Amino acid sequence: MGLLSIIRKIKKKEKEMRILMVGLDNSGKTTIVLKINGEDTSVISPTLGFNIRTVVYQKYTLNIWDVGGQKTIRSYWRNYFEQTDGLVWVVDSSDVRRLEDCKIELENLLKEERLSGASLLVFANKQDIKGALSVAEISKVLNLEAMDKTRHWKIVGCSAYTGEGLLEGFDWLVQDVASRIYMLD
Amino acid sequence: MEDHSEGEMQRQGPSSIPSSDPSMKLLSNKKHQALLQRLSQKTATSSSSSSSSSVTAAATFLSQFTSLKSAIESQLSSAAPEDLSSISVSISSLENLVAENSYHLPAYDLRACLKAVSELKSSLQTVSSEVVPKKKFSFRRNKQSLSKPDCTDVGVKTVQALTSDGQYSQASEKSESNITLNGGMQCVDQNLDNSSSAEIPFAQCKTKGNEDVKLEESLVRNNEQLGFRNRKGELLVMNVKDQEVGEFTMRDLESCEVRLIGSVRTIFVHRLRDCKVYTGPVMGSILIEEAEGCTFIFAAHQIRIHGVRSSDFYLRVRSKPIIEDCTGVRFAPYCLRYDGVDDDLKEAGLSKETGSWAMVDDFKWLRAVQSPNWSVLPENQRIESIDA
Repeated sequence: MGLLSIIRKIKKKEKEMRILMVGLDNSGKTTIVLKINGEDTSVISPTLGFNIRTVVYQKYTLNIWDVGGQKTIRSYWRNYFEQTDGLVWVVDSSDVRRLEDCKIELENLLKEERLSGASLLVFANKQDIKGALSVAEISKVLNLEAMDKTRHWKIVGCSAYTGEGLLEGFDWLVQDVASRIYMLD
Repeated sequence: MEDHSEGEMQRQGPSSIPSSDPSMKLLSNKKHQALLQRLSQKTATSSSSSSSSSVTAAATFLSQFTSLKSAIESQLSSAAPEDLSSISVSISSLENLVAENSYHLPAYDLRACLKAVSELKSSLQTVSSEVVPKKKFSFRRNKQSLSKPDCTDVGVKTVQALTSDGQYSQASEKSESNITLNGGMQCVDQNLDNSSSAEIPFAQCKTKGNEDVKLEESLVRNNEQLGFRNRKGELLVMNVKDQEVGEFTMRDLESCEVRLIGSVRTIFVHRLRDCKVYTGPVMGSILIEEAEGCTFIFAAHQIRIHGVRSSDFYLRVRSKPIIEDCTGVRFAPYCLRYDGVDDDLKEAGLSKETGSWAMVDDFKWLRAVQSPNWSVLPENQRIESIDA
């Protein structure tokens, strides 16, 4: 029995997934996590450090790591890369000026070898704000189509404020991770 | 009695078996051998049964897989555009089948099946690109852009006068025609030429690739962000009461006074110098980057302050405000007054003073002691209140 099959067996037993939420500051990562966990989203301070939430989703247990996005603490993101099954990149669709920063940070992240096996879900957040860029526009600016062909990815428009699109995104992510690490049954 | 003593012996373990008693030793040896035999039998039967079952399962799976695969291939060879989605569904179910059976498949078969699936996928892609012509990419014009020009019309007269030669009105003219991406680029080119004195001197424009700037600008044009840009020494007033406004941007202002009456969803502030900015409540967050010598009055759910020097903030905020790369910033409570400000605050969920304006987190000072970068503005130096 190879090491990989042992790991698979353990994963199958626990049905656990590790999800890493990253993105620029002010993109709404914490709000998304709290919203999907059914918690109060009215008072959320900018994340200094990180939050972990364990969410039971369908038949899986998601360990969601929500890491702060301020410039000072972006260099600590890499401490959370290990064993990540699903990567969620959150974009503030109303922040046109920093889309370029957003693109560069995402490119750097995807170069990371420890994340090479992780499925990528891009949330184009804040779609409820008037004047926000559409999913197609965000996808174009971030140049998602040109991504490495081996990467499983999807972009979903959402609003953490109303909750719209969050389930669609997480449904895809969980299904994709599940089929990728052979946990379907 | 004998049983009892034997049990006790066993509990004590083999090391404690007295070697002086040969019969006892023989007994334990016998038991040991029996155990070994039982174990070996068990493993033999279990391995043979499991391997035989997995072999048959693999065989049935393989036959199922090949029949499904050939069915999909025949579908692909004579595909009409409306069939494509059903084919892709059957390919993904085939993939799921492989995933389900991956446990008992030999490594080679698993690899071969996965390869076959990916080949099916790629051939579906080629077929679909042949059958369905690719959609040409174009930016849709946002619905709300139709109503945006009204915003300026409704605003106070002074604003109209101020914006008549500014970026904003230019932008709304440009967007009258439907802008595709390429068209947008061209239009930005013209814009850059026309107002090169205003657009070019940004330090960031120089560092960025030319094309990126164009892209960003074209997106800005397309979305017609509401706000003020590139002004010097002006009084800028905007009334957005009873309008639905998404984001509001203040950028590259010098020695200006900005008054925003009414509630918006989010505010972006970038590169302000010696300005006074008074705004009504914000439903979402405020992001401030690079400012110096300014006074801000803000009410919002979240406030992030980056790269600001020597500025005062009068805040009403639901969560803790944060600063990063700031020096000499001082904080005090919100003090803006205009007709209906209380209703606006209430509607934005900001009617209660929580005192969090003084609970500032400094990302550049992660220690228990007070950060030297910010302080509470002494009461005798605060402005009383501002009437906008």
